[in-house]
Amino acid sequence: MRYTMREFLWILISILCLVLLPWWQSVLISALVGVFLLRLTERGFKRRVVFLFIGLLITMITFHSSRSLVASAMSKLFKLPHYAFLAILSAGCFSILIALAAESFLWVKYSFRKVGDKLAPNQKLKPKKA
Amino acid sequence: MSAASEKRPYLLRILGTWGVFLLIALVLSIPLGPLPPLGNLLSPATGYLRNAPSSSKRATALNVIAEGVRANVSISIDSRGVPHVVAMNDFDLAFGQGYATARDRLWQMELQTAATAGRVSEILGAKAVEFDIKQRKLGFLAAAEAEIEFLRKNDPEQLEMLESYSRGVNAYIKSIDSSEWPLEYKLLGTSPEQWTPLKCALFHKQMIWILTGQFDDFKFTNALQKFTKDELENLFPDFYTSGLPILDTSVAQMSTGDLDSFNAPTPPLKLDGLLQIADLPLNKSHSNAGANGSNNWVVDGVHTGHGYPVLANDPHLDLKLPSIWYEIQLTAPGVNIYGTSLPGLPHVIIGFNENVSWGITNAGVDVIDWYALKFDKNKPTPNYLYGKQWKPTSVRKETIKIRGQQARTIDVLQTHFGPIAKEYELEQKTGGTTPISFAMKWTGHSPSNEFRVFYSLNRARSVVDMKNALRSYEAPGQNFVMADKTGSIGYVQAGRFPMRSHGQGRFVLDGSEPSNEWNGFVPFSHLPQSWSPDRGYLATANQQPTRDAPLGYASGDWGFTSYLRGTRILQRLEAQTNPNPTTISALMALQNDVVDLRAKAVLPVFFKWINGKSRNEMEAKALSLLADWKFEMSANSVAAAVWSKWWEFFYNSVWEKAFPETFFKRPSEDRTTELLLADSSELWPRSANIPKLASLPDLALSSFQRAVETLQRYADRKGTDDALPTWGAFRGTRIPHLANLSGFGIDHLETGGNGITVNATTETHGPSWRMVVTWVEAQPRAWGVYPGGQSGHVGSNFYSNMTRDWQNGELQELLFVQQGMLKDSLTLQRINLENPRLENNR
Repeated sequence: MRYTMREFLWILISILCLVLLPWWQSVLISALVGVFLLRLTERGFKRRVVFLFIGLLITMITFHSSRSLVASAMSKLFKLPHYAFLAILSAGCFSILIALAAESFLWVKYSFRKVGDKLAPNQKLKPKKA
Repeated sequence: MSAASEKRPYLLRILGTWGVFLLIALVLSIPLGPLPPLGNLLSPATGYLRNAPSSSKRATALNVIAEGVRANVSISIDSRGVPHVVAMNDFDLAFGQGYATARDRLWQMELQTAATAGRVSEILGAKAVEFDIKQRKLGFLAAAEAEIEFLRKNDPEQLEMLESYSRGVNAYIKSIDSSEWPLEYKLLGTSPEQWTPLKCALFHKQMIWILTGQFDDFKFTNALQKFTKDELENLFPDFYTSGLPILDTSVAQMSTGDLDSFNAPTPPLKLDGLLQIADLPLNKSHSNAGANGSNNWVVDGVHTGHGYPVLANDPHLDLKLPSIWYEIQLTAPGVNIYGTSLPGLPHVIIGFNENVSWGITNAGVDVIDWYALKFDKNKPTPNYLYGKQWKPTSVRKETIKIRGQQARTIDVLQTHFGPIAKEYELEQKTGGTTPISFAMKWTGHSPSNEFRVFYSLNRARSVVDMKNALRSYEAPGQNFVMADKTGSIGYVQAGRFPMRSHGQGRFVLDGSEPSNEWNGFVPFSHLPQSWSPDRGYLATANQQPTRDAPLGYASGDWGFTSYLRGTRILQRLEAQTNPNPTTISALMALQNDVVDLRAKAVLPVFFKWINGKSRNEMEAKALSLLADWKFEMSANSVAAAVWSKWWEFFYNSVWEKAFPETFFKRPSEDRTTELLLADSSELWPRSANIPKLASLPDLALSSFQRAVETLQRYADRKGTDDALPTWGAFRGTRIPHLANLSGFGIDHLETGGNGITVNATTETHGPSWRMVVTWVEAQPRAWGVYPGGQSGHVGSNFYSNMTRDWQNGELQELLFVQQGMLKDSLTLQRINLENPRLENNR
């Protein structure tokens, strides 16, 4: 399977977990699954956050619009002008958290490897300038 | 580059990533100030999005294994969200009612009883401690416990009914996981607690307090320092001579036989200083007597076009979401009842069955007295003077659990009158303050068995059955009107009212004087009542029951509400039933009547007073609108807004100096109207700070100018500066959430009416349930509506779905199932509560 496909598969699993399980369970499962599906790359984190956020945002907007009564009430409670802001807030929080969890677990996985193998080819960290 | 320096960036990255991850996870896991843990709340699997039960997605049939049910129970939810509970026996019926009610109103049930018991600190933390202390001192918890004990000894069957109801509630709690808990639990970070019969008793006590917990003893006692008793009699008559009472002499049928002698009032207690009442946990909505009340009326079958009685009822209470009422139909062998129940209590409170219907309004009789106590400070345990001896108090230790803090234990002192509910600082004329303690005597502290009364009413087959059931009714005192299929109608002001002589119980009483004790209660035979009178109709609207006080009766310190609403209803019923019979639709329309009889009486006088006085363009416009006005407080009327503010400013300017509201009760608006219409310098009070009769025209003019100015300012703010606002836009009605969560309530509805019109809608108070019941071809037909909806879940389609019809004064037909279960085609969801021990359910 191509790596991009594996990344999208991971995003899909993460969204599904979040929709079906308590948030901390879904974060753990996403991270664990990420250990097998993802690679630690220099730009991988940002890319995963962005795609995860977009995926979650679409999911959240759909959920909120199909449950607009409770979503509107909650947005008024939080003094937000529209429930879309709640969807953005949820998607934002959980996409960063899940991506960070996956990243953290990946670092653990890679920490067992030799230093030179920690990153994918051509994406090694550049040493800081002295 | 050494290996160590190459490792450092990785180490930093690992630590950094884990650190940020754990930090965000922590922030999402812990409460942030008033906010619950955001992770749980925002999670689509467990958070608020789970609190949107969509009717279309709900299972149409649900089988629940229910421990504690004796036979299977079926609950069918109709298209209005109303559960129709069918059971094989009374206990299972209570179980089903508990289950159905919890399904829709669990959080409401829990909050209401927690507030009554003084347990809000367990939910909200330290900020609710003072409230809880006040609640504990009022003795609700002890009274509820006593009521359960009373049932255990005297009516174990009703106690078993409460236990069944509780098991039903608990079965529902058990059937859901935390993601399905009502949203309020998630927001407050609490969890549902097991329901018990004690909570039913607590809710019963709360209802008694809401409906009878009003008093002005302290304010009247303060008034003794400024006014003579005769002046007070003139300003605060016990029974009015104007307006129409509930019963005139032609229809009143209570006994006037001798009662055992009761005490003449002792001279009122005079205190050297003023008592502040502001910090007592009063229900503020009830402090304005003019805005508090309910309507009910009944017309017999002779005076209706279709030959059957018509009964209408609209109890007025604080408007909240979720509503205080919950519609339900309960069917079991021997009972088939439909109506509104109170979430937390079994049985139907207002409703109808195949044979009878009934409605209630608050009686408004004074059932609270306050006794000032003198303590012996030299004794280690508090003793108070009674007669010529010192009586000991008993001490009840109450532990208040506080969320996030250590529990606090307080002593609630109990006297033979009742709990010491208030220790005031008396503000003395000479400066400084003196502590003074008061015991509260309240009929609600005594155990009573209204559970049995409503159980019997639910199963009544005639007006006679209902009359018999009401013989043991005690609290809260209510005006019951009733009808049966045969055409009989009836009325009784049922309750346990202390016998009083004129003026007794109006002021704070001297607790050391034994003659200040209550001396028995008005017997049922002497309570105001009427049974199928010739005139063919009966109506109540919280006004005085008769022109003169019935024997043993006095309104005491609280008093009845404005008689104008009742007068209007009785006038309309007289006009509608004579000479031709009335119709169902005419009686329905009467619930929406918004004619303000005070405006009708007072405006001509005001016009005369300000006639010819200079006025600006807007004032001239307002006057011209008022001149063409039909005295209807309609939502779209500008004149109604002008009149309302005009009268409010006039009334306040008459009394504000003599009766500052912190310390004094003001003469009622009815009495004010009587005094100014009498235009008699003999009647008009001459005390200091009360404007002279001759200055009233000037007050009327300045009040009018202020009223127009106020409305103009409002229009300016709204950007409609060329037009004064309508009554609906200016006043409107707000229906807040029970815990005042913004977004969970309704901020503004354009409504008409006021506290003294038949449609008694005010800013946050009004008809909490409108019901009209009759029979057509011997089958019951009924209509009803309330502001809100069946569900207490903000995400439900049934949360506030009836509000629009309520606002428009429209009624919805109630689906009364004659026999068996609701048809499948009319059922949104069927819930079967199954006994796991029954053979078929295994």
